Amino acid sequence: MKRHRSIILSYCIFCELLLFGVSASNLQAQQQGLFEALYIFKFCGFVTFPSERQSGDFVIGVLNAPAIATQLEKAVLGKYVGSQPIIVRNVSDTGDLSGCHIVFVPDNMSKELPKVQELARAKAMLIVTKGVGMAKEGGHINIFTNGDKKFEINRTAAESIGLKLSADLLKLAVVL
Amino acid sequence: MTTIFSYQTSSRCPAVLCAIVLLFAFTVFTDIFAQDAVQANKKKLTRSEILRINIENLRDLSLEELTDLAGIVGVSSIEELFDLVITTASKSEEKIIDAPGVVSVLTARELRLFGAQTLKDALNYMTGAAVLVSFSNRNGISIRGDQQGTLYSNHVLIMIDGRPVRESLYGGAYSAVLAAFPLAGVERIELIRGPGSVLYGTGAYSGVVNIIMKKATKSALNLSANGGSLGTALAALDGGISAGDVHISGSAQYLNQNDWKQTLQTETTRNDTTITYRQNGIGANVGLQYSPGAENNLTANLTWMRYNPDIYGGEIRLPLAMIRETYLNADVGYTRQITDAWKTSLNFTATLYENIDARQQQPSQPPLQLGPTRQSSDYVIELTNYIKPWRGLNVIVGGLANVQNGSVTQQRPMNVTFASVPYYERTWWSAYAQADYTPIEQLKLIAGAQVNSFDPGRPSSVVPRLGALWSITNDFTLKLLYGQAFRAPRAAESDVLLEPNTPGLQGNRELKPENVSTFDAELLYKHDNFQASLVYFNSIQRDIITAGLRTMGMNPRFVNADSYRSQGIEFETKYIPLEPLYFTGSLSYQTNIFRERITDGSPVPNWIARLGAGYTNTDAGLSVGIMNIFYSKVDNGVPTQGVRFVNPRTEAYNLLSVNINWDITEAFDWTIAGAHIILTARIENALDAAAWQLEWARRNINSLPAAPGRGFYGGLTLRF
Repeated sequence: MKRHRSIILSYCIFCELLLFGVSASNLQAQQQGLFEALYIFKFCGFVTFPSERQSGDFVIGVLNAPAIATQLEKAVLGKYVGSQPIIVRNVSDTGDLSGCHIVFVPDNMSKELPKVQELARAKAMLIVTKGVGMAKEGGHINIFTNGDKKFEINRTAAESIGLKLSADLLKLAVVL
Repeated sequence: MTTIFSYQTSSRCPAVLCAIVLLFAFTVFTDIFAQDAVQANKKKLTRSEILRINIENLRDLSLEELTDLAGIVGVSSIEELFDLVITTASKSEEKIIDAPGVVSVLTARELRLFGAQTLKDALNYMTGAAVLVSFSNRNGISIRGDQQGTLYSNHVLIMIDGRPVRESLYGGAYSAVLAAFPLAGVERIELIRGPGSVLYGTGAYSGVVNIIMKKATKSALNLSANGGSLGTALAALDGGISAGDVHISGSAQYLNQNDWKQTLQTETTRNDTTITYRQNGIGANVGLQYSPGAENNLTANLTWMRYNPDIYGGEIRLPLAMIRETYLNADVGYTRQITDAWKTSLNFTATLYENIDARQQQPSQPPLQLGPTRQSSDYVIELTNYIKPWRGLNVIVGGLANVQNGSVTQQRPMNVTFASVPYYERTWWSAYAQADYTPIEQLKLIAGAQVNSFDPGRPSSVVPRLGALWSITNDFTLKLLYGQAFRAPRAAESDVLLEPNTPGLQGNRELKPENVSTFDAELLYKHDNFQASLVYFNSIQRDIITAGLRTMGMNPRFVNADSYRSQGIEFETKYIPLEPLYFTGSLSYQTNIFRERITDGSPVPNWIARLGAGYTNTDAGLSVGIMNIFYSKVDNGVPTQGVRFVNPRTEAYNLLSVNINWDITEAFDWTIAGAHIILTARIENALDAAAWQLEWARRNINSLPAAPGRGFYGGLTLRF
């Protein structure tokens, strides 16, 4: 009987821990993409686009990353870049990214990077990525998950299409 | 809703009601506190407090402040475990799905979760690996069941940050490395199953273990001390200093175990005897990185290990013998990005090895007949070029010189004969190239080869590799790989000199390298929080170095005569159903034919299964890891004439361990001098299984103990 009681007690403690963990996990799940969204929003203020792109809506395109797009929509609500209202568009096809000012390409869409680069060359567009080596592969700002520096920046690639990156941004990043 | 409320308020459950109210109050309070605190003092917030803050409260922070908060939140386990970058398969960073090799990775997070104490423990968690014991090597490692024709682990190459830890005397005397390596400083362990000689040369035969050390990105220090059953004391430290372009990291480990009492018969006893089976190891690593600008990178790495184990026998045939094994591995490397398309690196690596009889002379006893001193020095200078001539094509071209010397000599004159290795000095040369080409985005093709020259008077040997990686969908990848590898004769085979009337094998300088050809087919699946891989492999080994025939009363020589064929399947998976939970598992099966007639002649079990589960609650600072390792019964087909069945027969066994880490600073906000306090508790072999392995090396007795019985351990870690 004593043995049974200890087994039941152990089971209860395990379930309690599990429930506590599940609640922590829900918290984490709710906040999935939080920092990526905030970074992308903040990048808007550190990049100067060519004059012809400084009118109309300021469009941020997110390539097939709905969690980040959802967070980003909350972050940009009621915000402007200069006089341009910011809007967010989550798309699954690179063809729908035309006209965006900033495009986010997650790791699982890295194979689409060459197509996004073509679009960026045609119409100055900042490419933000999150994935190993994606800045070297043509992304302009790549978000890290480890280390003190949280971004790497391919300055040459960004400047070659007419984008100007602020010195304040460069000092926070590993510049390639 | 009404029903639930009335149930909660019923008199039967006042405690439940109180708990709900308290939890609700706690949640509301912490949310309010967190949102206020974000303005007041951002750096002092805990991870869970930050995660409770709404995005509307964060978006007005500066980018720098956000990066600080992101540093506190850290990396989710999904990101850390599934978005891994490895470096072993191509000598440069790539994702596992893009790597031309069958790869398993064990991260620092998993090492902490499951509580590995030594490198041997860590490798025992990895798919395809098996840890072994023999009469003279307390710790051995085998990949895919390959442990034939050699007493040492010389079909596996161990590397530290991609640089070889390779001694030329035995080519795989890794007992000290497996026991004394400072595990606290390890960032991850990459295990390539299958041949790796095209990039890494001799010994990268059935597998390559690459130990990636932590790199200091900020100043930090961790200290830990553990103790418990078997008279175990274990202390470890790791940390680093980062200042500008200079990053220095270091780690050390001390292990002493002096009370493992084991009842068994050894090669020389005739009755069951209870002996104390001791081990004592100390290891340290220091790494330096200096990166003045993105184009230049200077690295230096020094690892020293000393290991004093009791072993079950040896030339001296005593019940126990204590040896002292010492390793020093040092590497200095310089990498320069010459153009956008060309990077070059130059490395100088030294490995010094020594193994001596370390028994102490007792005043009341007759003089000890001490065993020989074994030592070797290996120096590698290597130039590697990484070239990207055009988009989609990556080429690695390199070459190296490997200068070796060493000997096996007696410590002092005595009236026993033995097998010596007179001082040898030799230089091997190698050149290698590997290219991968991506003609279309779903397909990657790999080709490479290494040319080796061991002796200017003899033809060079060549090992090739070919492969194709096909991304079938975003989630599925198929790898088809074919490769050869070699194991050059070690000095203890080519240069052995027997004194008259000494039993043993005579050296043979005409030996060729052993050769293995392996075909791998791997299907990988990765989707969000689940990944799995299924591998089929088929290996054929030729020219295995073994004992020749005795002729005309002469001692037999080492010759290239044995063959070994093996095939098998490996399944590996990692799954994170919810952020605090983590599951990992693997199942390996291999079957083999030795000398074309002995089925399953390997001392490694056909089946090895591992199942691990982890629970991490960051709010409470708690992690619990459970790992079970199953070894099936070894029914070794090698004839058993002359084997004394004096110890328990080998049976299947399960080694279950439970490891608990509790960061009481996270739970109660207690600190010592500003340090996190982490309590650890661990149960090893929780089922108290009798784990006996086949004594496969000399086969005078049938089995040796592979692991002690149930043990309890506890300790404290301070994280500054």
